[in-house]
Amino acid sequence: MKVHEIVIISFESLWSHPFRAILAGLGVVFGVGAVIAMLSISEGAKQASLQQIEVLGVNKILLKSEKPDDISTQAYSSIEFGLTKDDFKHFDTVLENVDGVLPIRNTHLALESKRDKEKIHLFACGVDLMNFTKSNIFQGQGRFFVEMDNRQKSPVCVIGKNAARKLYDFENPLGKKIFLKGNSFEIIGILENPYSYSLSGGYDLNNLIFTTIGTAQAIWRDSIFNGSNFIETDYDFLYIRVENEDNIVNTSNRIRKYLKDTHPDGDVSIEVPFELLKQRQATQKIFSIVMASIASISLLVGGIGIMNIMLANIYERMREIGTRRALGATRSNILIQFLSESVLLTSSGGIIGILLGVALAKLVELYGGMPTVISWMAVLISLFVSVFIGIVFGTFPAWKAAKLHPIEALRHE
Amino acid sequence: MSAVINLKDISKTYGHGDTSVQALKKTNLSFFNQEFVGIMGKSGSGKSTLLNILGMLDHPSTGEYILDNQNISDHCDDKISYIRSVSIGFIFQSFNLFARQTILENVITPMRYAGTKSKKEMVETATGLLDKLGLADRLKHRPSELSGGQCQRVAIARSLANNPPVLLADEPTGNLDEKTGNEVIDIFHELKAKGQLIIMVTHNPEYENVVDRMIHLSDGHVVKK
Repeated sequence: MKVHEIVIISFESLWSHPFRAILAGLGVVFGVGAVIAMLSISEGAKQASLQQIEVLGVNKILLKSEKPDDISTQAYSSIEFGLTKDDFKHFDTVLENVDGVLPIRNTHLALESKRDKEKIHLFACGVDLMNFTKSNIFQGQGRFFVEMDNRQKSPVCVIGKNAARKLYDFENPLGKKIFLKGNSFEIIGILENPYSYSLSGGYDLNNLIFTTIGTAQAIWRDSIFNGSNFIETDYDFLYIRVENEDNIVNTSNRIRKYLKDTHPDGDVSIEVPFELLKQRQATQKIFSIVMASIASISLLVGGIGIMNIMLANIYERMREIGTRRALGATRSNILIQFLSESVLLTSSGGIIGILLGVALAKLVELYGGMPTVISWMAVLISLFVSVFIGIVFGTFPAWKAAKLHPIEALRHE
Repeated sequence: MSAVINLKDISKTYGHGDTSVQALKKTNLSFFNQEFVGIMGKSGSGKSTLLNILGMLDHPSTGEYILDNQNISDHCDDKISYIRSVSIGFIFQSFNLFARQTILENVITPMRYAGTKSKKEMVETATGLLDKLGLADRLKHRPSELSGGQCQRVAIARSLANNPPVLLADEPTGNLDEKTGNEVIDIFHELKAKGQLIIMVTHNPEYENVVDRMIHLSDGHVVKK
């Protein structure tokens, strides 16, 4: 008997009791559905966090100046805290395996957009900002800063694409002057940051105006950088780029040791995306193991349900089995028929489960605002697992059917 | 004339030791082409055991079963299944049709197991058989939509699907009224005339007159051939 004929017979057999078949397959449907939905949600979360880390760059270490907690008691006095020029010099010249250090300051100066009164902040940065972003090169119109701008303290600025739109609508701001606290800056470039690379604190480069650190310090000196209550810091952030990913752990440990000695009061924090990545990978692994265990249990329960139904099915169809044997069916014909019934049941359940899982994931994305990613590998594995469950839990009932003595089967009422 | 089936010293014992029951004792029987043979006996006389052995659904405990000059006593299960599919047609008292399939599909099933015909040939053969048995207009019907007599005719068509030399009928008229039962007997006579060997187990003594010979069994012994 040909395989497709056996499959047709199996399908007819399942179709003759559709409600029973649906109930039997529900375990697999929900098991697979849950697996697909959970994997899609976790994959979405994973990719979102990885993207975040990737944008930040795994070969970088971020140092942040942290305001002291007891500001209020120190009001009206000038407090210096956070990253200093000496720190910058140390990391740039003394620390080993460092490829570059990017200083960034928030000037706390801002322009207001005409339309929605949104504040556009001015940041002062090192000239190699672009080398620290994902694009690595300046994209947009005009040009970015060169070392000369910094050294000569040129009154120039680069404006983010969104900031330009907010301030100038559809006018081209290139070459125009911006006035910031009485100082005129020429716009030399419009920065377009396709990766929405954000500086620490969530500042998208596209929404900012930049000038060089040298220019900002020359025009306003350090005293301008007092956002509130005379609190002063030389840099808000220092991005340290490490030469090789293998050196990140060592370098970050050295930096920690340095910070412990030079900033014992904890006014500088360190963020190592590489460590974060490793941590998230480890968390992800645990999550995956837990999820796989839950999925396995639900699929095991589904499989037991299938076996139960198949055994009941065989008991009910003993006379049919006997008649088939009398008509010339071999034991393997009977085995394949019942095995294909259980595989058909579980694979159909698997397909419906996959559709259900995808729909659930999309609903979560739509109404829960969580990013989801349908992994085709997970879909394929689910399908394979469904077939596998059909084989594993269908073999015993099918073997039992095949082993039935034709006469006993025929005598069965 | 050589026998289609030869049973030599066939016996069948169920169980072991003190609880064993000898259902068939040293039976020697021959069956020929173009013969309509009846098997009668009280309940427990061994007639079902004999029919099961004849249909190769059960192995004899001792003795030889020769079918078409071939000793099949020692064949493996798969080989016996194949021989059964092409050499023996079964007709059951309660028809044993597959309720989920149409009557055309029911008749096609034994051909599928034999695997000797193409799909087109199988459909043609089944349609031809059902046509001959007056069921040409019921091909797409399911057994539940037919009368008892029609169901038994479908079962006869199914038993003839692989054109086997032997038909085994286990009380084929037991579930039918007298008129329909007589129609089935008439069909058997027609088949016999075409060369078929028909072996029918029955309880009905009236059939003694319609068969060529009646084998009487009692307590596992053949008492009258």
